[in-house]
Amino acid sequence: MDISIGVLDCCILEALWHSRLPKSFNLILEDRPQTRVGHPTSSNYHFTMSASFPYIHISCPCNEERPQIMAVDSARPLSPTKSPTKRDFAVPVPSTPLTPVKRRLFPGTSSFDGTVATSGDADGERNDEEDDEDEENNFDPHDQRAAFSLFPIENLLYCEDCHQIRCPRCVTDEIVCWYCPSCLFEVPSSTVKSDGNRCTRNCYLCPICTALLVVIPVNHIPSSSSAAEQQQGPFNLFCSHCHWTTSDLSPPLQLEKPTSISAQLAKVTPSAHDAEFNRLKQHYAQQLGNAQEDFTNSPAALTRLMGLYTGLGAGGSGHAGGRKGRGVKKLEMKEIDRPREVVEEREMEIVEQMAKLGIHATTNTKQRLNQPHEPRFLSELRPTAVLLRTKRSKRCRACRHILVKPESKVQTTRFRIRLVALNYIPSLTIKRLDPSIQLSSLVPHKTHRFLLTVTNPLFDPISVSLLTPRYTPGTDYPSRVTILCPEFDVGANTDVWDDALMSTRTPAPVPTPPPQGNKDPRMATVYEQKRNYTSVVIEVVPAEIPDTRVARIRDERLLEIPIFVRVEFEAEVDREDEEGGGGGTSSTSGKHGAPGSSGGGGNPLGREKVEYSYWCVVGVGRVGDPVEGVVASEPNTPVRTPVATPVKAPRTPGVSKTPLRQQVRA
Amino acid sequence: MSSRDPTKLAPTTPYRSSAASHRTSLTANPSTPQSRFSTSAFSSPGASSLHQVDEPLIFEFGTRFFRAGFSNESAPRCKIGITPAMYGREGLKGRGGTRTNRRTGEPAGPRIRNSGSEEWELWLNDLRFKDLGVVEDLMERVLREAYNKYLLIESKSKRLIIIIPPVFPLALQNTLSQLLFLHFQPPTITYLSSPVLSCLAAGLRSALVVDIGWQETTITPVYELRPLPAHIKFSSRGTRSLVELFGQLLWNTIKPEGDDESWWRIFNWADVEDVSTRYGWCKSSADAREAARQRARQAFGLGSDKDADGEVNEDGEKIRKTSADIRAQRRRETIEGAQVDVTFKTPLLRESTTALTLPFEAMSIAAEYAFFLPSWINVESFKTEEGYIPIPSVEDLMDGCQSRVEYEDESEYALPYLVFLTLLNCPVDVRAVCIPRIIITGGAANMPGLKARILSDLKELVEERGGWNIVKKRNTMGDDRRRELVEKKPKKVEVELLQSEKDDLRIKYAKLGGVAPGTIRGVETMGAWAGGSILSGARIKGSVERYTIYMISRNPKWLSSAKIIIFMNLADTIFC
Repeated sequence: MDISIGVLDCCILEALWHSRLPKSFNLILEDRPQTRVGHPTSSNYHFTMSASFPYIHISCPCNEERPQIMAVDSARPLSPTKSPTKRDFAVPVPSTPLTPVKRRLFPGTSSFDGTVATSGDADGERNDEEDDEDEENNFDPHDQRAAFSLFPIENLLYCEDCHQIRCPRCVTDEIVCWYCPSCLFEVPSSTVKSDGNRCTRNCYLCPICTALLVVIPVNHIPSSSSAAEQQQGPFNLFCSHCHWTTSDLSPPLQLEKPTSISAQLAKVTPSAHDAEFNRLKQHYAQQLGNAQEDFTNSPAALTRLMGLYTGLGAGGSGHAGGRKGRGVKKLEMKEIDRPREVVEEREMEIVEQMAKLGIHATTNTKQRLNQPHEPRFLSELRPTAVLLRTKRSKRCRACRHILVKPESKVQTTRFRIRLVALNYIPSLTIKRLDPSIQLSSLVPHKTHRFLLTVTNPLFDPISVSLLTPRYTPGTDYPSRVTILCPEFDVGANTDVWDDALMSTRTPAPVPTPPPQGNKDPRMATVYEQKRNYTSVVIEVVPAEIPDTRVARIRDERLLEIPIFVRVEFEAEVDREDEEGGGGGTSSTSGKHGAPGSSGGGGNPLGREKVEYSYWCVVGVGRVGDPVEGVVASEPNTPVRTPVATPVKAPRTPGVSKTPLRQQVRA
Repeated sequence: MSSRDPTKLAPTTPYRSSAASHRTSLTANPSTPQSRFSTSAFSSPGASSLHQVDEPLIFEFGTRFFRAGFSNESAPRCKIGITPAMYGREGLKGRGGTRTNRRTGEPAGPRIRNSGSEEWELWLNDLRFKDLGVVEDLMERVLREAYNKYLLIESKSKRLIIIIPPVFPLALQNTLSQLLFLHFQPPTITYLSSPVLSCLAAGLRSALVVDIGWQETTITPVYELRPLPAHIKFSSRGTRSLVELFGQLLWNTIKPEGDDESWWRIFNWADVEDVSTRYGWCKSSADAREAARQRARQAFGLGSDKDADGEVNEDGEKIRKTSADIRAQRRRETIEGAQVDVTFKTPLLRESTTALTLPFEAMSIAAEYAFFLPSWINVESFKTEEGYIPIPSVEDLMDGCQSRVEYEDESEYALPYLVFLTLLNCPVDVRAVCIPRIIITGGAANMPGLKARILSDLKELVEERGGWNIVKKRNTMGDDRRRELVEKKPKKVEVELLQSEKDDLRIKYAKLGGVAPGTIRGVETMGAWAGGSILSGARIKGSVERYTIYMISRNPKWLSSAKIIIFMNLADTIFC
């Protein structure tokens, strides 16, 4: 987890450094405080969801690849006599992928345009009866399993060889180094296990509040200034947060030296559990030792073996019987001497102690679970050494390529390899077009317009198509969703200075944004287009949803829109051709010299069409109570574009050059 | 590498029906790719897969807690409790945007059963409504946390020993194996049955293991380290029902009139569980019996006779108090005087937290309801004036329904009676060995007083029933009288002889370090996890594993979720 945070931080830093941070990203950062419209009253309760609306989560494709496991068929009664059949158990059912199209197409397979054209045509004529089939393929964000495959884009990696998003579940971890997060001391791998995965230096945590403990003398006088005086005598471990000290234990725990705490603690804290465990272990070792010795080396075992082969059998012949009997007897196992018995008196003493000491002398669940032997009373707690952490490199589980490789030095936060999805897949952001929209209470039947911005991190222009179900799936109260311009291009993520410096180059082909005067957002063209991002309008008409909170079912009012994103672009086939091509996708991680410095004059033979797609979920907000005056037959409902499946957007001629419109901040 | 390519995991049949006497490799799941260790189990008994240089990891999949650690250690490295947050989405703290809170409208999550406990559980025996995919996802999440946060080890390098309950749904085990081999790729997985390991961790070879688990109590007789699956008994009274009753009692205490909200909507399961583990205790058998007697007196309109003749026996003499009695008396006074302050987060009520001051004595009531009282008794509250348990009606008492455990639903027998039944149904030899070796383990067994209570209640039950007869005697008084008339009294010399023989036996047993047969004795165990740790650390040679698969359908309600019982016969492992 710590690694992934590091990844994100580094990403932002690096993006700033290379000044490739798209402007929209800035906008989102600005936008955050406005959109934080949570429920302040309940923020202290665990029901609270920490992310505020809107949010965007991306579904890792591994969700679809997994075999769907069929649970037990409850509807079918099973007679007790009949043995259960295969159907009664989880059997992997060959599943159809959720995505409507094949995820990745190589050159030579059906092209992007063709697929869409046919499906678009067909869908245009389809009517509602086809919707059912549609729904089968739709990604349902309400599904319980979806919670395990949806991630913020910052948590995702990208495998260049598979052209696939990789979530934390699709990678295998390899440990690079172990270190203590408190003293940043690297622990060699040979001692990690024997130390119990904990720091063996002086890093100890308070067992009550998990703050770091400090060593202070028992007779601590804060006013006395002489250092020599302070270094005297027995020492305590002291928690500066909750003022717990090891002297609070019974018996009080005091150290002689302020250093090498682990060794001292191990000496003074014998555990009854460990003693019992060792007694048991010794018992079994003894028994097994006898048995093994007998079995392998002793003559008794040998005769027994011989007896087996000569067919004398276990019943035994007369003369060998005595000896064999002895051997067998020796092999026989005994139970431990004096097993610990359950004594009522002892248990009632604990009860008495509980009653006497009161409730605040007992440990709570968290404190108890952190200790190895689950003590009942606070006085039995021991300081816990800091758990070590690891730096891990991550491999793609399918192709074994390394996706993340941190520097092995503990202090550095740099990575040698880091293929984060943020650099590969277009990131979506959504914001309100109308600032009066209350994200926490959207008005039913009213058309809410949002601006969906697709930002391209790649150095190639991409064409994006967004598909969304006409009605939000997985709920009885579907809301109507329309993406006004479902297909569009997004410019390449060229350097900001490129345009300025290389005036001779023709700028990247940019589709025509709407004319300046046309402020009506209800049009089938893109709303805004800049260097590497494009914004389109998405219209949401929430249904009137009854408040199901009392009915104790899931939150029907939460409005989450699944969007299927399909991205297509041309990329370099061979990485060696990079000098010619310049700005190929494979160099987008930013490690290579100056991407995008040369023009797009690469060898056309060396390019291939890459296409990938994924589902993402846009958490728009919650639907509020119905408002008077806004009724179901509101004429505001968009009718212009066919819904459910986007038609092919009119591709604006790429050569037409239009002045970039100023961004309209709503 | 290619042979163990995780992506090519062949989906095969989930079980083999003929596996009852089939010797498989260590990996229980037949669909697992045959690893390089598998052949040794067939070829030579000397080379064992349990004998390896590197030590395995030991996982215990409980319903509520997952434990993981290394072998040869006395405690697991991590204990991960399942929380609703684990069902949530990464990046969204809380419950992943699908659940709801009644008042705030904050997201909560899908609710299948309606007691709200399923989001605190990893798996359930009742798989009818459970999406196995979710269980798989959750298990993966838990395992990943264990590996990455606590064990700090590469999953591919270590063998696994997985401790599962004696009755574990086959579908789940299949899921678990697939998940492990796909995501974590351990060299081998060994499944071990938990009662045997509990037995091992107590230092015994035979025992009656009473596992008070989260979802149910399982009673397994183990004989010479072989569990007897045909004699396993279950009760739905488990740790969960204890927590449920705690919550119910707490809510009844603060509930305004007419509010029919369920307690789990008000309280958080974790809070209630915390209270029950911290403060919960169990009355001793004598105290509970005394309380029941007082209730019966009140039912007949008689006043409390606590002070009047508590210290006088039938003959009117004062009973001499022993020091133990005095100590018990003092303890009783301490307990009576003690108070408990508990604070709960109750966001759905008007106040965000509710503080309660309860008598310490009340904290023992939940265990009473959960494990000992018949299930038809109404749950009162912690604030009831006349005791915490409702006074039975006269009809009930006359009818005998109140006290008769055998009128209970079969899946809800009170624990002492269920232990009695299990022992009664065992073969005589097994019973003789198991009676002095009763191991009580599981989550609720940590509650102080519970183990002793079950044992002494059992003792009483046996005395009342007059031994281990399957046929219950109806009229014991009449029987005694008839015997007196019919049977020839042995002569005095014979009696003395018999007595001395018995004494001899007793001395003999004492010499052997055992107890006389028929003595009910409880033995403490270190738990199944420690047992697994000892076993895997013992470097056992010559293991022969045998899997026995039994399909049992024990509850008509759960018929559809058939169970698998997998036992690795430890007896063979260690003592061949």
